[in-house]
Parts: sequence; C-alpha cells; structure tokens
Amino acid sequence: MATYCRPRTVSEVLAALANAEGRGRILVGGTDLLVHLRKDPFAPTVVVDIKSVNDLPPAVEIDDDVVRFGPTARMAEISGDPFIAGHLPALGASARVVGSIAIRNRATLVGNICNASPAADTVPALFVYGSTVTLTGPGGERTLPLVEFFVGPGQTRCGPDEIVIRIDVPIPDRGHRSAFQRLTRRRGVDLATVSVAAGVDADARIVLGLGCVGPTPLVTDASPPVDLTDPAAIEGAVEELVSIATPISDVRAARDYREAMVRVLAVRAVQSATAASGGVSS
Amino acid sequence: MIGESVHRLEDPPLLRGDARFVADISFPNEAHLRVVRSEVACGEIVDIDVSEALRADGVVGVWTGEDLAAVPPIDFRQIGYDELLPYRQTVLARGSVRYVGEPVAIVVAEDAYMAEDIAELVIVDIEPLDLAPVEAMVLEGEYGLVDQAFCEAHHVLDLELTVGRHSGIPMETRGLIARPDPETGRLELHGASKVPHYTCAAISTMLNLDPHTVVGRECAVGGGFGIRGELYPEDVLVAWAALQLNRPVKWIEDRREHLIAANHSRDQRHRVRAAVDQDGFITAVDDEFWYDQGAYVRTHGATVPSLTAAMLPGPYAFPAYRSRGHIVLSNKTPAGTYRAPGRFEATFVCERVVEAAARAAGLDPVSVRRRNLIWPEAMPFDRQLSVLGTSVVLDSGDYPRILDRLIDHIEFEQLETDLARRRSEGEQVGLGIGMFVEKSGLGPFDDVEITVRDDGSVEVVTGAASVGQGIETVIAQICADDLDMDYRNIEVVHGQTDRISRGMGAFASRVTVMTGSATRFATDAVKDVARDLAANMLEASVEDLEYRAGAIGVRGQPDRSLTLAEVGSASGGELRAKASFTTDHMTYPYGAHAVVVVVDPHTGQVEIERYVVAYDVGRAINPMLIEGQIQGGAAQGIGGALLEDFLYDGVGQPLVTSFMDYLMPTASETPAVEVLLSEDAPSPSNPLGVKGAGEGGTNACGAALATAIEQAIGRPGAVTDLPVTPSMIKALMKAAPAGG
Ligand SMILES: Cc1cc2nc3c(=O)[nH]c(=O)nc-3n(C[C@H](O)[C@H](O)[C@H](O)COP(=O)(O)OP(=O)(O)OC[C@H]3O[C@@H](n4cnc5c(N)ncnc54)[C@H](O)[C@@H]3O)c2cc1C
Repeated sequence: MATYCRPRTVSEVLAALANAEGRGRILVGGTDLLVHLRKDPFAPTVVVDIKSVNDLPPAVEIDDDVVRFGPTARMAEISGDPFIAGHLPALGASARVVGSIAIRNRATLVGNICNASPAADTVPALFVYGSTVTLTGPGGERTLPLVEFFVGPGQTRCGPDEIVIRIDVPIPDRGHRSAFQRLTRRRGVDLATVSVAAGVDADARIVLGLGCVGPTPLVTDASPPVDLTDPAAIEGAVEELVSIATPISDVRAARDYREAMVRVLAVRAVQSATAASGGVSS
Repeated sequence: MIGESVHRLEDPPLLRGDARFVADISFPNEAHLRVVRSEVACGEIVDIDVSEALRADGVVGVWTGEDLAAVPPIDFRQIGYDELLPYRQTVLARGSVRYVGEPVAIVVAEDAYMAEDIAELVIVDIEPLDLAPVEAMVLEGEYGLVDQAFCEAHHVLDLELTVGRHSGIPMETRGLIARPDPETGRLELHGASKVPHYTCAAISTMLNLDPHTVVGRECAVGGGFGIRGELYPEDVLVAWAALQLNRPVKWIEDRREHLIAANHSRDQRHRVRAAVDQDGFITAVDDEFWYDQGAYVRTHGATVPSLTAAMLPGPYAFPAYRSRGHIVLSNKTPAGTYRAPGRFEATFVCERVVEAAARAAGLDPVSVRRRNLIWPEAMPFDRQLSVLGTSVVLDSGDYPRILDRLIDHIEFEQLETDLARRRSEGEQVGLGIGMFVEKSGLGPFDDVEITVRDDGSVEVVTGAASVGQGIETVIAQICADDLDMDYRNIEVVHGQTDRISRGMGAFASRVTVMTGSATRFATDAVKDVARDLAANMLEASVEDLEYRAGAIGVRGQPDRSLTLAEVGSASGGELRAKASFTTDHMTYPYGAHAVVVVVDPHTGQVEIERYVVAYDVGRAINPMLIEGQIQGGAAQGIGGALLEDFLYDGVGQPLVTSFMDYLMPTASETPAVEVLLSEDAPSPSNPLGVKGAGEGGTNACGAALATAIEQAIGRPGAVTDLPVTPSMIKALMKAAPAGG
C-alpha cells in the first residue's frame, strides 16, 4: 500500500522521490496512475502529488519561438487555447480528443508523455513539432529530444528520482502546416486504434508522428519535397514514411488492419493539414 | 388509461436522487465482503494461505472452499438436465478452478477498503493445467422430413456462422446485504432482485434454513437485462457469512469483477444447411451448433441453447427442421441469459439463411421472406418444438402485415433506388432487414393482492420484480383502467417476499403479461367483494349495484353510493382481494428491423444512418415505455453486432476486463430508433391481449446489420461472424466478391 505526500517545492518533490528508493511516483491528474495503482507490478510505495508545488513552471507559457508546458498543463487548457489552435493545430486537436470532458479537465500533457502508452494521443503531434523534454533530478536539469524520451510501453528515460519539469514545443516557421487524425472504434470515450500527426513544412516536406503502431509512439524522417497537389505523390511519400510502423494485433484491431490504417490516416492528416487554412502558421 | 403514454411512477425518486440502490443502504455494525478470485483459467489448487490476511488490521474473517464444504452447488432454476448436474458451480472453488474470476476465498472486514486490501494478502497457489473444454450434452429437436427435403432440394445452402461472447452490462453492478434480524430471527437479503422469491428459497435450501426466515428486499435496481439478479455464488457467500458472523454483511461488486464473474452470453458457432426449391421456398433447415457455456452451468441450465433451437425458425414456415445443439464447457466465465437469449443468435442464423436462399434462387430477399412466412390463417401455429417446459405454439400474428408495415414505412422501393444511386456514386451504403419472433409471458403463475386503503388509495402487491422496465407504472395503469381512478393513487409493491407468499419475478418479458393479467383479475375480484359488502350497507340487491369510478352505487340513483374506502371501513377493515393468473403457454410477439448503414471505404467503419424497428405486442399498455424498451434493446443489439466481445487469450486469460476494452455503444454510436408499434394480433391467451415487449429491440440487430454491411461493401453473404469489426470488414472488402 502506498503512502501519499503533497510537497510544496520541487526540491521537496525530489527528496520524496529519493526517499522512496525507486518506488515513488508522481501524481498529477491521476487518470493513468490511479487506474493502474493496484495492478501495477511496480506499484509505488509513495505517491507524490505535485499539484501544490509552488515553484513549478507555469502551465502554459508562450514565448517568441516556443510554447512551454509545465507539469500542470491540462488537456482542457491546451485544447481550448486559440494560440495553440492557430500555431500548433495538431497538438490542439490531439488534446481535444483525449478521453472525455471530465478526463480532459484532469489529464495533463506531461502525464500523457510520462505514462508512455504507445497510444498516447498527444505524442505524435509533439513529435512533428520537434519537441524537447526537460527533466530535473538530483544531478540537476537535463533536456533531451522527446523522441529519445520513450524506451518501450510504459517506459521512459525519466529516472525514478527525476521529474519532468517542462515540455518545449518550438513554434513552427511561417508556412508550416500540421494536423492530427485518430481512428477509434467508437466516437464516445475510446483509445486510438491508430493515430497520426502530420507536419508539412514550407518546402512541402512531410514528417509523420505515429501512434499505436509500435512499442512507443514513432516519428518518421522528413520526406523529400512532395507535390501536395498530387494525391498520388502524397500517397507515395506516405508509403515510404510509414514503413517504420510495426503494429501488433490486440482487442481493438488486427495487425494488418493497423498497417493499412496508418496509411489511410497519414494521407488524411497530410490532406487536412494542407487544406486547413487554420493550420497556417503566421 | 391503457394505451396512454403516461409518465413513469418510478421516475421522481430516480430523478431527485432519492432512489436507494443496494450500495446506498447500510446497517449499523455491517461488515464488508470481498471475494478472492482465481487468476488462473484452469488448474489445481495447491494451497490457499490465509495466515497473513487473518493477521491484518480490520479483518473479521477469511474462509475458503473447505470451510463451506457443506454448502451444495447452485442448482438450476430453469431447464436442468442430469447431464449438466456435474457442471454446477460450488460457491467457492474446491480443489480446482475452471475460469479466471472464480471465487476461491472470501474476506470479510470492517470496511470495504480494508476488505479489498486484505483480499490481496490471501496467497492462492494454483498449479495451472491445460485448458480442458468438454462437451456436456447435445440437445436435439426435429420435425418434418428433413433428409427427404434435402434429397429433393433445388439448392442446398451450407453456412458457418458465429456470434461472439457479450453480455448485459447494467449500470449498477451486482450487490447484496444479508442482515440477520435479531428481533425476528429472520435473514433479510437487501438487494435481491429479478427473482427474489426464488433466491430466498434457494438460499434457505442451500444453507439449511427455514424458508420462511429468509426475506428478499428488492431495492432500486440499475438495470438487469437477464444477467443481474440471478442467484450467483456471491449471493450465497454473503448470506453464509452474515449467519456465520451474526451481523450484516455487505458486498458490492466492482466493474472488473462484473466483467469476469457475472454471466456472459451468446458465443455460439453454427453450421447450418438449408434446402431450397426453385421459387426460394425453404423446405428444410438443418442446424448444428456449439454453445460455449463457459466454466460451469449456472441457474439457467440449458435455457439459452434450448431457446436457440426452439426459436430459430422465427416467423417462417420451414416444413422440416432439425437442430443439434452441443453444450460445451470451457474455461471462460460461465454464461447465462441476456436480453433475447438464444434468439439474437438464432435470428442471425435464420436470416442469414433466408438471404442466402434468395441469392440462390435469384430472387429479392423481401419476396423470399414473404414466400416463407407463416400466414395469419395458420394461427395458432404449433411449431412442434418445445422449450422451457411448454410447447411452442405461436398464439397469434400477422407476419406478412408487419413486413408490409416496415416496407411501407421505409418506402422500400424508393429507398432501394436511392441507395443504388448512392452506391453508383461511390458511396458504400446498404440496407438490411431482419424479421423475428420473440417469446414472452412465461408462466406458470403470478399472484396479485389488492388493498383499498382508508384514504382511497390502492396498494397492489405483486410477486414480480423491477428491472427498471416500468412495472409500477404499467401495473398501476392496468389497475387504474379497471377501477377507473388516477394511476398515481396506486402503489405497486414488488420484490418484497414477506408481502406475498409466492412470486416469479421479472424475466422472459413476463411481467406485463403475467402480473398484468393477475392484476386484471384482482381488480374484478375487488369490485365483486365491494359489491357484496355494499349491498347490505346500501340496502340494495347486488344486481342493482354498479361500479362507478372508485365507488359502488345504486343503478339509476346517482346520490346513493359508497366509495371503496367507505365500504372497507364500514365492513371493519380494508377492502382486499387476491387473484392469480396461470398459463401453460407463452405468447409470441414478432417484428422486423431495418437498418441503413454507410461503410467508410478506407477504414471499414460502420455508421448507422437509420434504424427502424416494427414490433407487434398485441396490445401496448404504455407505448412510451415500449419505445424505450426498443430503443435500449436496440442499443444493446447494435453493441453485440458491432462492438462488444469478451475475448480470451490462448491460456484462458480474459483480455477484456474494463470499459477500456469492453466497447459498449455510446450515445454517439446509437441511432434514434424509429419505432413502429402495432397491435394487429392481440394474444388470445390472456385477458389483456398483451405480449411482452422487452426483447424485440435486441433480437434482430445482428441479422439486419450483417445484411446491410455486406450490401454496402458489395459482398453479399460475406458477413458470417459477429461482432463485425472494421478489421473484418476491410478484410472482406479486399477478398474477391463472392460469385452470385
Ligand atoms: C477514461 C479515460 C480515458 C482516457 N482517454 C485517453 C485518450 O483518449 N487518449 C490518451 O492519450 N490518453 C487517455 N487516457 C489516459 C490519460 O488520461 C492520459 O494519459 C493523461 O494525459 C495522463 O495525465 P495525468 O495528469 O492524469 O497523469 P497521472 O495519472 O497523474 O500520471 C501518469 C503517469 O505519469 C507520471 N508523471 C506525471 N507527471 C509527471 C512528471 N511531471 N514527471 C514524471 N512523471 C510524471 C506519473 O507518475 C504516472 O506514471 C484516458 C484515461 C482515462 C481514465
């Protein structure tokens, strides 16, 4: 059985984690942690609730060329933010489909990445913007590209004595467009069968972030410039890019279905990015 | 009053939050029970170590199967066969386990949180064994000259069809409080539902109690659907623990437990052959099927496969029919009845056959249906099959007419033209129709006692139960109609076993038929009693008295009358009467579903554009309630046809143990169902002419959706398995179109 603590400062958080000898876990929205608390084979002995920590970075901070998300940034804020909708539309759209209104009011962006589900909805979008993640631990701060953060299902490079303090999302250049597509079995609350975020830069190079088609969310390299007016060219480029996908079969879908759907969604995401004027960055 | 869509009497407390569900009820000094369940699908119990649990804070007691060795297994409530007796479930596992979720021990603690924590301290050592499916028995049914029909057939159809494993998921999970009453020496069961009289009697037998000392107290109920309220191991365990401890014991199931321990349903594989002549007339159907009963045979015995066998021919005349149903025990959660039990599956199979027959004969499926339907002149129609101890005699029905009603309503020809045009424009859109016969009003009896109170209000005590279907409203309407009074002045009592000596409860769409008919007789009896008593008081002869709106009066003399309450109090008490309704036969409502779907050509996802259910219930007491039943029933049928599936892995581990993976349709997936209620064929077998209305919304969903989807993707006959998932649809779309 776990004990619960509610520290006031980041250093108290780090102390609590250190005392837990690798069995401490951070709690924010709890929409993942609490669900798995009893069943988790590595069940925490200490639950560290950081919602009262007063020296955390702000939830959402918009700078000239970057948007910074702190550990308390919730999906509801992200999906409702007009700046994000205009400049990081794939991220706004992905935050908008997480769970339900009640879930989005609690669920955090940082929690979504730390939970490290291959189906985490916001990760493909964070990938296409080239986001980085910053951790604080006993040895100080370190920053790594988000793509390097994920190790496997439920596993990240965040050490048991560390806390993710920030996600930085660079604001794309003018002319960059992006969109998010998700396939679910039903439109009510559901986890993704496949999800895709597409980023298309000013030179019409495509980058895809892919969910549910590998042990972690995946990101592709950038394609060569693509003639976006030619559907066949888009399909061809997508075909190349999605070859990194290695989906499995589970209760939601068979493997070959996921393989087919990642193509369908990728094409849709590219088309929707390039069609949507709202996706144009200024 | 009858036929009016009046508001439900049940709703005000539910809407105000005043309704008390079993979890809302507590008693001083109550203890809380938690069940320790097997994590292994098949194995020998090597050891159960309870020592650590017994040392825990707050523990009241821990018991295993050995402690309950004297408690017999749970018996069959319906359709028991000797062959099934060895597969009854004991309330705690003894020696071996047969499914993940099987109770192996119980922990009772001072509060529910402690109980849950302490249950994790019980160490259960199970030596896993290979899964061991066994066939328990084969059910056989047959009429007509089947083999001869196949010899003479123009076309012989041969189909393999499956229906997945899904079940009713009531919003309220199961729960029970057993409370020994120190004053009366009785054991109260709060939360007993669906069949409270049966539950109390069975528990008293199993625990060697005087049957009069076990009292069922139904509370507000958050759904039933056939699965909730059956007698389960947990109910007996709660009662046993309460007696052992001589204090109230409460158990509230959590959702994971519900998904692995409450009855599953469906899960059938059929191999069906049919003989068809050149005009599309089906001369024989020969169906062999395998029903996965799960690990044990529970209260329903062979009910589900028996209903599949007896109801499969549906509304069709099929001159010859043979059914062989294999009951297979596996290492999954045990199965039982769920809304339209055995019939959701049977209608899917039957309508697949009809569609295939139409293709074989090169005719349109609607006219092939017409050709095969039983005609109204043939009613009552003896199916020459029996089920649930009654022979299947279709009591009344105009099957061609309900098909016409549906066809007219959807403007079939225009719709087909529109859909063909949309298909030619590249859309994948299709229409499916499914016809079905339901069964309802299972006997053998129901009693009703009516009391007119001093204030003129009326109490109707029934032996029925509420599963949320609106029994209080419907019974009050029937009573108010007869007594010519306001239905809001009538209180309907149900599920209280000390108020009435026997009762059958609520299942098989029986309450309106059985309890409703008994109510009709009881109101007649009340009037008779009142007339006899009033004759003296009014100094008139009985023949000169008449009943007028709650009073007995002298004919032709408007000012000489006594209200029923006055008659009661003048006779030194309250006016009372009692009546029973008995029947040997069920009554058979029938109907048809039509659905239009659009299939996304890229993802294979199905969008329901329109859903219509035509249903003939003989006589609709409250049309609004029936529409609600159909809407909700259709949501469940759609779920079973497209989404819901209890999957297992190769070693019997359930893969679907939460709402993350058990995908019920939400409001977004559930269309507003257009309901066409008709009253063409009142039942001749009860005084109201009613037929049950609980299950028709579910029955033909699989059948209609299968046809609609394959028409949409241009692969007639391709859909053979439910639920039809987007993965499957994409695979079917890739496969070459079936010839013809
Ligand atoms: C009904 C329901 C529906 C859902 N639907 C979706 C969906 O559609 N899409 C989707 O992607 N997810 C979904 N989820 C999952 C969940 O809501 C999200 O992953 C959410 O973003 C998690 O955020 P949280 O704040 O609740 O995290 P918590 O549960 O508080 O934490 C999650 C994990 O991250 C760790 N953690 C949190 N913050 C930090 C930090 N600062 N540093 C280090 N570790 C940290 C925690 O220790 C824990 O392991 C759903 C969950 C539920 C219950």
